[in-house]
Amino acid sequence: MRRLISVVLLFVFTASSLTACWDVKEIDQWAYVYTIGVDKGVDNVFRFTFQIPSMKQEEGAGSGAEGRGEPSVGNEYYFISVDAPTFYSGVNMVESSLSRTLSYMHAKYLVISEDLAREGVERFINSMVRSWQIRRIMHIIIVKGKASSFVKGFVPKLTSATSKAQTGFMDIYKDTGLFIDTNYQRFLEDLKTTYRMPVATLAALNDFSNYRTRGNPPKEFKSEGEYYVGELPRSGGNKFEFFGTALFNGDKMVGQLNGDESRALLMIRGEFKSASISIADPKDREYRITVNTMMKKKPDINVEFHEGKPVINLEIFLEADIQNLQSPTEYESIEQKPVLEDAYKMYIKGIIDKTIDKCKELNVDVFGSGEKAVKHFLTIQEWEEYNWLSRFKDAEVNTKVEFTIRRTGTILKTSPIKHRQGEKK
Amino acid sequence: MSKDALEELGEERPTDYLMENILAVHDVRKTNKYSDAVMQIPSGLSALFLEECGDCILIETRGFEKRNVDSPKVETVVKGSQEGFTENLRTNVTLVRRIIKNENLITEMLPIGNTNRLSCTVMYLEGITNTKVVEEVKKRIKRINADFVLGDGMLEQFIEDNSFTLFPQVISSERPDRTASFIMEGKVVIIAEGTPFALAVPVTFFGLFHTSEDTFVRWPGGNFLRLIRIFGLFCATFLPGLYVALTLYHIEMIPTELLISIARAKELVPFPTLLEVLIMEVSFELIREGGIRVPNVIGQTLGIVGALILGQAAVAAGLVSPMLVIVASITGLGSFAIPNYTLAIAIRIERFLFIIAGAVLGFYGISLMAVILTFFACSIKSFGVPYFVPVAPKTKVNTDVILRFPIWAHKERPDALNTPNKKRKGNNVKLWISEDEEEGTDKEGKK
Amino acid sequence: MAICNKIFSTTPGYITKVIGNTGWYMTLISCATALVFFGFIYLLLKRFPGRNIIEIYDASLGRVMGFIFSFLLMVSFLLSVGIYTREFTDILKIYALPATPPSVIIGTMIFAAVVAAFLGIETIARVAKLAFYPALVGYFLILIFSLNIFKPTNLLPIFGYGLDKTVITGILRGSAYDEVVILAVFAGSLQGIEHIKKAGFISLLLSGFIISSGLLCFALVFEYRAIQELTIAAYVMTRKIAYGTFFQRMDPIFLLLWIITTSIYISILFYTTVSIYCKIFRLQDAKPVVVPMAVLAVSAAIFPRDFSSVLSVYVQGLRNYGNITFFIMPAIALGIAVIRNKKGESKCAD
Repeated sequence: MRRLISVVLLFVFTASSLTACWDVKEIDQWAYVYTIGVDKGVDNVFRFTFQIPSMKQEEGAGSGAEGRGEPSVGNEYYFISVDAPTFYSGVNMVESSLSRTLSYMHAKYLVISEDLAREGVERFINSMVRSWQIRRIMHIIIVKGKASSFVKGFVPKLTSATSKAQTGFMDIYKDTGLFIDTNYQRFLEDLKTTYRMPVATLAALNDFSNYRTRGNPPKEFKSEGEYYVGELPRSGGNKFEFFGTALFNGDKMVGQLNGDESRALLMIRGEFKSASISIADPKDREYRITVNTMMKKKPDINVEFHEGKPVINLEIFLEADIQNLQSPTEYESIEQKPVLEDAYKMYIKGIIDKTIDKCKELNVDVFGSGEKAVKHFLTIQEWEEYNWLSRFKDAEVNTKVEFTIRRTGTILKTSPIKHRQGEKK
Repeated sequence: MSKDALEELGEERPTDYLMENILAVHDVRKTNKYSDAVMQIPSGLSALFLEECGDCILIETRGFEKRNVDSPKVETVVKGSQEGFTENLRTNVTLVRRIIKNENLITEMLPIGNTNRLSCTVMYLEGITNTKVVEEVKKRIKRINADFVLGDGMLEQFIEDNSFTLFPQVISSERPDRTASFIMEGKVVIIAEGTPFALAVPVTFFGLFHTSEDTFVRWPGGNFLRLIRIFGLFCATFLPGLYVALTLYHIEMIPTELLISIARAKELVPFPTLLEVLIMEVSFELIREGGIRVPNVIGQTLGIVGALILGQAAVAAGLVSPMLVIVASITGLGSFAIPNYTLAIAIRIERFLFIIAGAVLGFYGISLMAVILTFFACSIKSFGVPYFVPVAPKTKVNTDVILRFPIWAHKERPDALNTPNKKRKGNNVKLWISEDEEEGTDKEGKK
Repeated sequence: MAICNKIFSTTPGYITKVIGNTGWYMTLISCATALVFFGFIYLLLKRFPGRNIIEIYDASLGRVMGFIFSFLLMVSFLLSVGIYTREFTDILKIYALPATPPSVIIGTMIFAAVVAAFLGIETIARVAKLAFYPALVGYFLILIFSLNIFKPTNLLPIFGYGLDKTVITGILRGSAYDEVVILAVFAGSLQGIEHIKKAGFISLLLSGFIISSGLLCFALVFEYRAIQELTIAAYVMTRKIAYGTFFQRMDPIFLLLWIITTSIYISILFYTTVSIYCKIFRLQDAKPVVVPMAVLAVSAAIFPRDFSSVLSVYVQGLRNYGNITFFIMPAIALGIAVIRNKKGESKCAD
C-alpha cells in the first residue's frame, strides 16, 4: 500500500511539474510599481501614472570591483502615464509598452490629485482594492496640482531606498504632527462607516517661490503650522512636501487643514505623538518659545444629548519639554511656569476650537466623536436612523486642555547674558 | 596428564577438574556439542579435547588487535566524557558497565547473521525497562534470517518497524555515557560487534534532538542549544522551499528593498529560480559527499574551498543570484546542526520535496507537503511507541521534551516507555538544602 | 485519542462572513446550542455504551430508518468535505494562486485527505494534535499583533442589528460546531463514554472560546460595515498588521496556519465520511472505499458554479441546515429510544 502511495505521489509530482506551474512568475518577470498617481484624464476617465524602479545593472563584467563603491542604479525610475477608463485597463495599456507584468503589490502611495478628489473618488477607490495585489496599508495622499507631476517629482534625494523613504515620510508626522497619515484600509473604512468622515494626507510640490531672498519681514511672524501645503518658505531638498490634511465628505474632498489644524485633529483623535509647538512669549511678543509637546494620555471625549442636540465634551491632556526660550524670562522657575502653561493652553484650545469650527462649517465629523456617541444607542438600526454624520454641525463642543511642562531640557535655569553695559535693560 | 592421575579423580569428570584447578583462564566453559565447538573456534576460542572424554573445554584465548578507546568521532561535545566506543564488543560492554554499576544491568549475547555469525548484546536494566520491549527486541534479533549482518547499520534496518519512511526509528550513539543514560531512561540498548555504535530503542522524534551535552550544561544553556538546533532543523527543511515559493509566487511578502535587490541581482541570471536552487543544493550536497570521501588531509580544505569559491564563482559567473548562496549556506549549516545523522539525511531528502512543492504550488504546496509528511511521520511507531509521543498522542507531561527543565525536575522516566519503575529521583533531590527538609523527607519515608 | 477534536473547529478562515459586530457573542450562543445538542448525543451514547452513532441509529430506529439517518449523516459529511474544499480553493485562488486551475487545488487537497484516510484515524488524530499547538500559537500571535489596531468602540452599539436577530442566528449556526458529532461516529473506538463527554465538552468550549476571540478581534479591528465587504477578514487583518517597514508581512503565518488547519480539517471530515460509509454497510476494510469516495468529494467540490453561490447558497445552507442532520437527528433518535425504552435497554444488555 505504501508503495502504491509513493508511486501516486511521484506521479502527481512529475505530472504537475511537467505540465505547468500555473502561477509561476519569476521575480524578474515583474515590474514593480512604487507609486500610483491618479488624475482626471484628458482622453479618458482617469490618467494613471506609475513609478517603476529601473532594473538595469551596471554594464560590463569588470565593474564588479569599481561599481561596489557607489551603486549607480539606485535612483533610476521610469514614469509611465496613461489615460484609461479603469485602473486595470490602464495597467494593461501600460504593459503593452513593457516587457514585464506590472506588479503593484509593493506600491506604497496612492496619489490622487485634488481636482479628482473634489469630484469624488468612489469610482476607483472601491474597485482597486478588489485585487489582492493592492495592499491595504498603502498610504493615500491627496496632492495639489497634478498627481502625474507629483509622482514624477517623487524621487527622494536623501536615499536611494525609495520604499523605505516612502514609509519614512509618512512616519514623520510622529515628530511634527503637521499632517495626518492614513492608509487605504482606514480610508475605505471611513468612507463607509457611520462614525466619522475620511481624511487623507495632503501633499504638494513646492516650487520654492515662497523662499524669498529679499524683501521686508512681515509684521507678525507666522507660527510653523499656519502655512498651507506647498507654501513653506523652503529651498533645497526634495521638491515635494507633506503638510496638512484633506477633509472629505463621503468620497468628495471638501476642505483642507493647515499644519496647526492637523495637529489639533491628531490631538482629538488621540494619534498625536509629538511636535515642537512654538508660540509668542506671553510677556514679550517679540520672542518665541518652543516646547516639545507630547500626549499625556488619550483624550477624553464624552458625547451627551441635550434635547436631541449632541454636546461633545472634549478634554485633551498634553505634556511638554521646553526646547527653546528666546526671552530672558525665567520660565523654568516654579512661579513663571504656570504663565507659560496657561499661554499654551489658550493657544492649543484656540487651534482646536478653530479646527472644530471649520469642520462644523463643512459639516464633516473627522474627529471620530461618532464612535463615542454610539454608546447611547442599542442597535445598529437606531443608530443609522439617527444619522450622526448629518447632525455634527449642530453639535456643541466644549474643549478643555490640560497642559503640563514637565522638563526643561539640559538647562535648568536661564542666566541672563552679560553685555559690556551690564545686564540688558 | 597421566592415566593414574585421572584415576585418582574417581567419579569426578576430568574436564571439571581441569577447569577448576589447572586452567588459569577466567572464562572457560565446556561443551559436549561438536557444532558448538566448531562455531566457537572461528571466533577465536581454543577447544581442548581430552581423550575418552565426552566433552571439550572452550578456553577464552581471544586476543585480537583492537583499537584503543578513543574520543568519539561523530558525537563530539565540549563538556562531558571524551571516550567513545570501539569496534570491540567486550570493550564496549565494559564501558557501559563502568557507568552503570548495578547488578540489575542485564547483558544478553545473541548471535546474528547466519553465515558470518556476529554476536551482539542486548543491554537493559531489569526492573526499569518494559519487559515487552525487551522481548520484542530479542524476538526480532533472533528472527533475522540473513546470511550476512554487519554492525549496527545493517542491524538497524533489519529490526526497524517501517522501512518505507525517511525517519530513523532507532537512535544510535557512539558515546558510552549517552548509551548509559538511554538504559537508565528505560530504553533497550543493542551493541553489535564490529562497529563503534550502540543502538537504542524505542525512540521518539523529539529524542533525536537531544545530545549528551544538553544534560551536562546547565539548563538555560541546554535549552538555548536545543532551540538553536530546532531552528537549524527548520532552516534545513524549509528554507530553500520557502525561498522558491516566495520568489515565484508570493513576492509581496518580501520587503520591497530586498525584493528589488534580489530582482536586480537576478536580472542577468539565465536560469529559472527552481533550476538555480537545484543547482545550488545539488552542488552543496556534492561538496558534502565529496568532503567525506576525500582523504583526511585535504578534507578540511575542501569544505571551505568548495563552499566559498564555488558560491563566489557561481555568483560572479552569473549562474546563481547571491541571495541564493546565503540561503543554501544557511540551509547547509542548519542540516549540520541536527545531531542525528540519519535524521539529517532524511531532512536533506525532504528538502528537495519541499523545493519541488514550493515550485509547483507555492506556499500551498509547501504546507500541503508538510501536512502529508507529518501524516506519514505520525503513523510511525518505534517498537510500539508512537513517534511523536509525548505531544501526539499526549501522555503525561515530561520535563525533557523540547525544552529541558532544571535537573531536579526530571523526576520521572518518559511516560510512553511504560516503565515499571517510573520514578527516577526522590521527591526532594537536593537534600542538602536544609536540615529541616531532610528531616521532612525522612518522616515521609517512614510513613 | 479524542483530544485531537479540539482542532476541529479552529479553522479560522471560515469564521466570519456576514455577521455584524455582535458575532463574538453570537458564536458563544451557537456554542451553547451545540453544547445542549451534544448533551443529547451524550445521553444517546450513554444509553448504548460501546457503540457508535450508526449502530445506535440502527438499534433505536430500526434498520430502514437507521439506514436513512446514517446515510443522511454521511451525505452531509461528504458535502461538507466538498463545500469546504471548494470554499478554500476559491479563497486561495483569490489571494494567492489566481491562475492555478481549481481542479489542481481541489485534487491535491483531497489527495492529502486520501493519504490521511489510508493511514487511519490514529494518525489523523496525532497530526491534529501536533498541529494544534503551533496553530494555536500562530493564531493568537496574529491576534496579539493586531492589538494596536483595535478599536473598542467598534463593539458598539452593543446589540448590533438587534438582540433577537443575534440569538436566532446564533442558534441556527450551532452547526458551526457540528464537528463534535464526529466523536459520536467514532464512539465505539474511544475509551469509554466519560471520555467522550470530557473530550466533547472541552473541545466545544475551547473552540467556542477560540472562535469567539477571533470574531471579537475582527469586530475590534473592522467596523461592522467594513467587515461585511471582506472576503476573509482574517487575511485582511493580517495584511493590516504593520510595525515599521520590515515587520509588516504577517500573511505567511496566516497562510500556513490556514492551509495546514484546513487540510487537517478536511482530512478528518473525509475520513469520517469513509468511516460512516463502512459502518453503514458493515465493511471491515475501509481502504477500497477511499478512492471512490475521493472522486465523489472532488465532484461535490467542483459542482458549484461560482464563488458567490458557494458562499451564499452552499456554505450558508450547510451552516443553517447542518443542524438538522448533525443535532436534531440524534435528538430524535434519543426521543425514540426513550419511547421504546425496553428495546434500547435490551440492546444495551447484549
